[in-house]
Amino acid sequence: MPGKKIRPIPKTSEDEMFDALLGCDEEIDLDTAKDVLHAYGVDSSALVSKLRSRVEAEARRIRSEGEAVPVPVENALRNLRSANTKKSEPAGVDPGAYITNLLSGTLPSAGSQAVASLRGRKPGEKVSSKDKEILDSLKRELDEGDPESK
Amino acid sequence: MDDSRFANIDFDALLSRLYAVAQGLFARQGLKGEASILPATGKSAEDLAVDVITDLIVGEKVEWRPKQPDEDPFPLLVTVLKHDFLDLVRKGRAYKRTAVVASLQDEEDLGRIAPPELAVDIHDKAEDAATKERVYALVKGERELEEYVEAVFELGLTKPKDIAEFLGISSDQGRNRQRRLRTRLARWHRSVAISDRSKSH
Repeated sequence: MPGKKIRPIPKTSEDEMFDALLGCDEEIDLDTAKDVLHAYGVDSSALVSKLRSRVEAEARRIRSEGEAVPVPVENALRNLRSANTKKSEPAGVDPGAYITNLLSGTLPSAGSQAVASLRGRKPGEKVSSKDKEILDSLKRELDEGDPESK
Repeated sequence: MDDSRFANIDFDALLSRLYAVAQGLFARQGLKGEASILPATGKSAEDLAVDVITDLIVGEKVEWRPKQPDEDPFPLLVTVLKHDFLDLVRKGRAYKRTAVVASLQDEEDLGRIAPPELAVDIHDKAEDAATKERVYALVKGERELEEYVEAVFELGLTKPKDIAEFLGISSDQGRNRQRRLRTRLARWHRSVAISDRSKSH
């Protein structure tokens, strides 16, 4: 409804009671919001992905109606895409080194970090004898399927 | 109009804050015994928050013209979200009323329904009492939160300054208790939603 002013809804006594208990909705800060997301087990990047999908669908609808996608919508999509990319990148990585490692095949995979973390160890920390047994058996299975190792 | 207004917005933060508001509204309905997804609409808090920001970006239903380059659209979005939420609640209630009338056998049954004004008044008072009871249950055993809730429910204090003064705490401590209450409510609401889902399956 462009041009139509959206007025705040007058507060009822119940609204005032909840504002007193929880704080005003209009003043929720990011830390409180994160607490709430955590309590519901929701990841904010999943919300951003959903928003991105919705805006992309709207952009397709606008195009299908023969209209050009407005610049603000394009900007929002670019911003949303970069927000998703940033979230999926490993933290604190130099992009140049990351690409070099990726091309040379020396990039530690996310999987290896996850395995190391699986039993509460830090990456690089020695594996337990039990874990070593499991890894050795996995290696044997892989070698058996690899003709060069025979 | 400044066409770069969505180029630098932190959508992650904006969406997180709006989601927290939406969940708060759903949790409040939950305190009245209503489900986590509003009847007849199938909308969740997540849907509501995403819809509102989509409307802001597309600009067909919500138009935002910031006066300053760094203006935060959050207060506007909270207002839009509350309008949308009320619409959904009304739709849900209309659906429930339809269901009640449709289940009546004959005109004699219609005569047993209390006059609407009286029915609403009785319903509201019962709802208020049930809401307070549920909030007290949420904070049971946590003295700081219990006394905060008592100050609001029993003394009718609503201004943060008055509550802090009465309890002899600083404004920051008051805000901290509000934050803990909001998180406590969220955890409770999530457990109710999970229980609702398991019952329906």
